[in-house]
Amino acid sequence: MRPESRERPEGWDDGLVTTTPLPVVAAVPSGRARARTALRRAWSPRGWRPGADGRAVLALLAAAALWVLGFWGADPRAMTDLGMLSLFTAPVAAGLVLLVTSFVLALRRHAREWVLGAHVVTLVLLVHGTPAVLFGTLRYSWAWKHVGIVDYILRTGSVDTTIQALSIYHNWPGFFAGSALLTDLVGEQSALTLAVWAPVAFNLGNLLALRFVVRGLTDDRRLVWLSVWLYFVTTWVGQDYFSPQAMAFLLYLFLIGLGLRVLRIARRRRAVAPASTVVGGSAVSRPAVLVVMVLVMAVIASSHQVTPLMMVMTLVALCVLRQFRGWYVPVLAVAVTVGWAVTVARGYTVPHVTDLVTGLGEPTQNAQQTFAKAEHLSGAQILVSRGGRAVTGLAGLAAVVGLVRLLMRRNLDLAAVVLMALPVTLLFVTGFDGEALFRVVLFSAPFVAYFAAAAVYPGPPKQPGPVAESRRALAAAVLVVALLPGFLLGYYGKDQANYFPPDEVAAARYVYAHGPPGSLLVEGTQNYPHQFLDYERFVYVPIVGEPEASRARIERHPAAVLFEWLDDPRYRSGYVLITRGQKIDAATSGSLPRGFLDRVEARLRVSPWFRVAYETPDGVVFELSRAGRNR
Amino acid sequence: MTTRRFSLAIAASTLAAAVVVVADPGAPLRVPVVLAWALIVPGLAWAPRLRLGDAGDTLIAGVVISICLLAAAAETMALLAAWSPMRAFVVLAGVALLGALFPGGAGGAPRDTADGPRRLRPPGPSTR
Repeated sequence: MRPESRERPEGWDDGLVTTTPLPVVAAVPSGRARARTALRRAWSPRGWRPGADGRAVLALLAAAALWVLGFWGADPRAMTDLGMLSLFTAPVAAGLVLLVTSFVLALRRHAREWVLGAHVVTLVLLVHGTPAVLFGTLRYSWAWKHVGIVDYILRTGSVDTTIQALSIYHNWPGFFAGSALLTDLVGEQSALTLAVWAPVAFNLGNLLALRFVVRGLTDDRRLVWLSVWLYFVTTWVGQDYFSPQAMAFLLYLFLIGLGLRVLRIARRRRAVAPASTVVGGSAVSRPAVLVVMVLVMAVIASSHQVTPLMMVMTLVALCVLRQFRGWYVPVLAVAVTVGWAVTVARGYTVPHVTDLVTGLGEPTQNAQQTFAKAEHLSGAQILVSRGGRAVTGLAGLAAVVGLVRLLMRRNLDLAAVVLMALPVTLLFVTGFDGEALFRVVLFSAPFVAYFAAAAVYPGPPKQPGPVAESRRALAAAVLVVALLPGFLLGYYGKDQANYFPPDEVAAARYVYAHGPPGSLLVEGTQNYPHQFLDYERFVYVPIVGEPEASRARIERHPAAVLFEWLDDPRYRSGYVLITRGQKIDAATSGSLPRGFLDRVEARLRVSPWFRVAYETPDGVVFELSRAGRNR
Repeated sequence: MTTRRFSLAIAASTLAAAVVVVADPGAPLRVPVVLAWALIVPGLAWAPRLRLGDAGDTLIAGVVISICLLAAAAETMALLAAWSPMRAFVVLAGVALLGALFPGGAGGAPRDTADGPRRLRPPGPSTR
C-alpha cells in the first residue's frame, strides 16, 4: 500500500492524482481488523525520519521544558488584572515561539500525522494543563457549582426535577449523573479532582473530534492539522471547564463528524452511497452509525439546553440544503430533544417557555446581553475583553479569505459554510443569560478555523516547489502569531478572578459544612468556590444581585441591613461570607462600587451584633453574635 | 494487532479495572486505571463496528460511546433513584466484554466492485 494511503483514502478520486484501482478483494477483513491495521500504520514509528522527526521531538521537549521552567515557582496569588499573562516570563514566551516554529516547519515539510498531532497535543497540555498544576484548586466559580450538583447526586443517589435551587441541572442531568458515577467508580468523595483536569480532558477529546470532523471535509492533512491548531488558538471563550456544555460540545462535534462521513451527498455527482460509504479505505457501517447517532443525540438532549438546539438546527439545515441525506436523522434529533424537554424536564420546560419566547427574533438584544457584561470593566480587563474580540474578528477575516480562495478554486464546501454560519441563528432564538454570543463563537469556531486554515492551504499551489511551500509556511506562522496574543489575553486574562487559593476554599467549606438546612448565606458576589457542598441546604443572596436601592442601603448601613436579613426567623441560621475572589470580581467587573466589600467587612468586624465565625487570609465568615441573637 | 489480540486487550483491561474497583488499592492507582477504562474501553470495544478505518477516528468514537454509555447508565439510576455504582460498573464491563466476545462488522462487508472499491469524490480541498 502506498504510504500516502492513510491520508488519501484509496478509491477517492479527486481529479488530481490518479489512483490505481484496487484488485478485487477475496476476503475482506472485518471492520475491527481494519481499524487495528490503520492504528498500527498511523501511529507506528515506521517511516520515522531520524533527522526531521528527531528535531521535531527535541523541539517539543525543549518547548515544554522552557514553558515549565518559566512557570516554575510562580505564585498565582501574584497575578494582576492581566490574569495568568502577568505570570508569563521570557522562557514561557520562548517555549511558545519554539512550539509555533516547530509546528510551522512540520507543516512545511509535510510531516507525518503523528508529528503534527504531537505539536497540537503539546499545545493543549501546556495551555490547559498549566492552570490545573499551578493553581492546585479548581479554576472558575461556575465549575464549583457544577461540582455541587455532582455532590448532590453522590449524597442522595438521585436527582430532584422539582427542586427549587438550580433545578435546570436536575432536569438535564446527563453530565452530572455521568460525573457522579465516574467519581464513585474512581473511589473519590468529590468530583473536584476530576473537575480540575476536565479542561485538559475535554480539549484532548476535542482535538480528536475536530480531526474527525475536518477529515470529513478534506483529506489534506496539513489543512486538517492547521485547522485543529487554529481552533485551539482562537477558542478563548472558556467553555471547556467542568460543565455540561463542554461534554455536549464534544458529542456534537462527533455527531457532525459522523454525519459528514455517512450522511453526505457527494458534492458533484450527487451520488448516494446506498449501504456503505467509502471512508478511509473502508466501508462505514450505516446501521451501526445510526445506533450510535441516536445514543449521542439522546445524551446531548438530556445533558444541555443549547446544544440540542444547535444539533437540531444543523441537521435540519444540512438536510434541507441537500448536503446530508436521511430525513429521519433530523426527525430523530427533534424527537429526542423535544421528547426529553416535555417528559423528564417538563417541570422546568413549561414554566420557562416564555423565557425562550421573549428572546425570539431579537438577535441584537441577545448579543447586547453579552456586550453589556463588558460595559463596566476597568483597567486591564478592557484589554482582555478586546483581545478576545480581536481574535474572533481576525479569525473571521482569515476565514473569509479562505472561503473566497476555495470559491475561486471551485472547491467550496457548502456544508462547511453552513456549519460555520448557522450558529449565528442562536442569537435569533435565545439570549441565554448573556452567554449566547459566546456559544455562537464556540459552535462556529471549528469551521472558522477550517476556513482560516484554507486561506493558507486552499489546494495545491499553482507553482509547486520549495518557494511556494515556504510562502505558505510563512503565512501560517503570521496567522498563528497574530492570533496568539489575543487568545492568551482572552483565555488567561480573567484568571485573577478565576483563581481561588486554598484559604478561600477553606472559608467556603466552613460555611457549607456548618450551616444547617434552611440557612441563609449572604455573599458579596458569586465569584468564589460556591455551592460545591450540600448546596441545597442554603438560600443564597448575593449582594451584587440586589436591586440598586437595596445595595445603597447596605452601603450606608451594612451592619443594620445584614442583621435584619440574618435575623429573619424564616432561616434557621445565617452567614455573611466575604472572600478574596469576590473582591477581585467586584473590582475587575465593576459590578460593585470600589472598596464596597472591604467597607462591609470592616463594619461587620466592629459591630456588636456580628462575630467572626471563621477566618482565613482569603475569606471571612460572619454570623450573628450572642448579643445579636438576643437583640 | 489481530482481532483476537484486540479482544483480549479489551477483556484484560476490563478485568484489571474490575480488580482495581473491587480491591481498591488507593487513589494513585485506582483513579487513572478506572478513569481511563471507563472513558475509553466500553465504547472502544464497539467502535470498530463503525468501520471508520482510521485509528484516531476509531478512538474518538470509542471515547464518545463510552461517555454516552456512562451518562445514560448514570442518568437512568439517578432518575429512578436506584443509584448503584457497582451495578453500573457490571453493566459497563458487560458491554465491553460483549464487544470483545462478538467482534466483527455489524454492517456487512464493504461493497467493493470488480473495478475496486466504491469511489466518491472527496469534498473540500484535496491536495497533498
